[in-house]
Amino acid sequence: MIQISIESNGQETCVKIMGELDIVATTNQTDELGRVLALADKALEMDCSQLEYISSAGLRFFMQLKRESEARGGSIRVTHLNEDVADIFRMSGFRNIFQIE
Amino acid sequence: MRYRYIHILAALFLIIGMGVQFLVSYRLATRHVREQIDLQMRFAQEKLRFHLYDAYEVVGRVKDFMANDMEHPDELLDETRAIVNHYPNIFSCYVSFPEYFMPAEGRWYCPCSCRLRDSIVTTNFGDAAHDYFTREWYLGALESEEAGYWSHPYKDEDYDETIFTYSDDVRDKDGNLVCIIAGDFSVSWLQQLLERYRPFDEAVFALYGSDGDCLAVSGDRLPVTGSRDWIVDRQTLDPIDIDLVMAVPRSYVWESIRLGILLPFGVFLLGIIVVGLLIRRLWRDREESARLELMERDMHIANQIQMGILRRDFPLDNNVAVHADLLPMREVGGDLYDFHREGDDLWFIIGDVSGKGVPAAMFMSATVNLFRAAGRRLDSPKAIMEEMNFVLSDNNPSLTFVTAFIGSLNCRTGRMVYCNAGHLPPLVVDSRQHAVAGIQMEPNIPLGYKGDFCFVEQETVVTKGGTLVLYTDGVTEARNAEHRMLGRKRWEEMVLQGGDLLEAVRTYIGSAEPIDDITLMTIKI
Repeated sequence: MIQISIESNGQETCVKIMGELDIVATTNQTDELGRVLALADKALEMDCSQLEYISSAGLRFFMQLKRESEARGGSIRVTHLNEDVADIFRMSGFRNIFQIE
Repeated sequence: MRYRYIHILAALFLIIGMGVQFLVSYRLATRHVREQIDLQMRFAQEKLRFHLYDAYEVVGRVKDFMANDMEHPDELLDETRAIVNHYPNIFSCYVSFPEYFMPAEGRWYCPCSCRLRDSIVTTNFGDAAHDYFTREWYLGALESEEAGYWSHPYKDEDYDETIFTYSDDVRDKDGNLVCIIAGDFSVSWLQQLLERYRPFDEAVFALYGSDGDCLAVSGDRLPVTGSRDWIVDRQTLDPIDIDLVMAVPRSYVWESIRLGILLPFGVFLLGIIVVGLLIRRLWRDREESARLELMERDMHIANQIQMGILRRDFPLDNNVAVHADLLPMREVGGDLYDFHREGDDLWFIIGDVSGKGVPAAMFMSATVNLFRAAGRRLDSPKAIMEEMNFVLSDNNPSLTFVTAFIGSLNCRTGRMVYCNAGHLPPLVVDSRQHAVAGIQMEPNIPLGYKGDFCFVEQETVVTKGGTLVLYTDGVTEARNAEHRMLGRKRWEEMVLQGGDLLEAVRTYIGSAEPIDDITLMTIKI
């Protein structure tokens, strides 16, 4: 399960995802994730400092977000990935898709 | 839909049942009301007769007084007064003498006492204005051959009272008239008496004279005889010639049975609604379970089709031994593997479709078929990967993506050319089962996201006797009952230990619910 906090500082909207973004979260928390997808037209910072784990279902959410963002003229920065999650991003090739800082 | 008819049927039964109950109850209640009225009227008659005996007593007493104690007729003034005083039901008492009986008093002589509200007025009643010789009670008593005479009710002008009179004549031994003794009862007294015999508060009564005049009414309502709105009984009060009409409005009958009708009606109605809802629920559950059953059957068939796609004819010879297992979390899943041999080369793919269930399964079968089709024509993992990526990315609105690893392994030399699309790096165990290592690789991106992506192809050598272990993230992300993930480290230890890897993973999961498909492929050269 995840918790999401959204903060806007004018130029950029910071979305902080906390917890485990796995099949359980993507299946049961579509409302919360839908709120993030609705922001795809903005300049987003996906703060993953407290994202403990991401599965392929979670990656699919990131890919959906990326597609929406591209279609609606937004941008995405993925920041503060922890080591495990960064590993998953790297191995799954998502480093080639996202701007990771 | 049929439960609706059950509802209507139940409502119909309810209405018919309630209708019958209403009719029966109404009839019984009406009969009960009639019986009550009749009974009370009989009681009233009895009581009235009892009180009317006072009249006979009064006459007897006056006769006695005249025969034994009277020295002068004027004494009758006191006697009548004493009588009216003694008999509260008697309105007035008087003794009327024939013409010029007392010459000093003139033509009429009639000592009389009459109740006037709280006092008693005693007077000689006979004068020109009260010519009793023409009155019905006088003539009646005179002409009656029986013991006494009960007059019809008539209006007493002096006291503004409707009264009726009992009178009896007194004669001497020669049969000549001595006097006529009379006692009056007022209709208002009779009304008060009857008031006690109204069976219900709603009952009203009226008194009618023989000429049809209404003498008195209880309350302010006049019962309407012959109307359907009233239950009416009419009896003639004996021996006085007055009709008593007692009536109860029919609305009283309805009011008395209303609760007995409406309460069960409400309870039954509630019952029907509750039962109806239950039936509806059961019906829906049945339909739902039938639907689920159908779906389960379809899923089972889908599972058979999907599992049918997966090869089980594993190559096993001196050069290579392949084995693979796929455990879908649900009936159908998104994991995939495939392989084929071309001479010494073993071509293989392992992959994982994002998402679960039927959508992932459809993507999975498309991916396997694409691999088979492209593998026939193309001779490098990179080319196959790029063609598959192009097709899968084209018009992919659901944004489903596939991580895949494609390799071409020369079973004789151990040289392997491979291309990875975001899949987990396979592990290699050396020939003596001493070391395990992930293959170094360029991850590229998963299939299905960007059709024109340029994949990087790599190359390595698997030493003879080594084993290549390919797996999906369902393995490393498997959780046990304590919700702890297997993890890469524990997985690598398992691989190093060897044996039945699928069984080892299953043992780790234990009683926990699997959350993802699990696929394992081992290639030993």
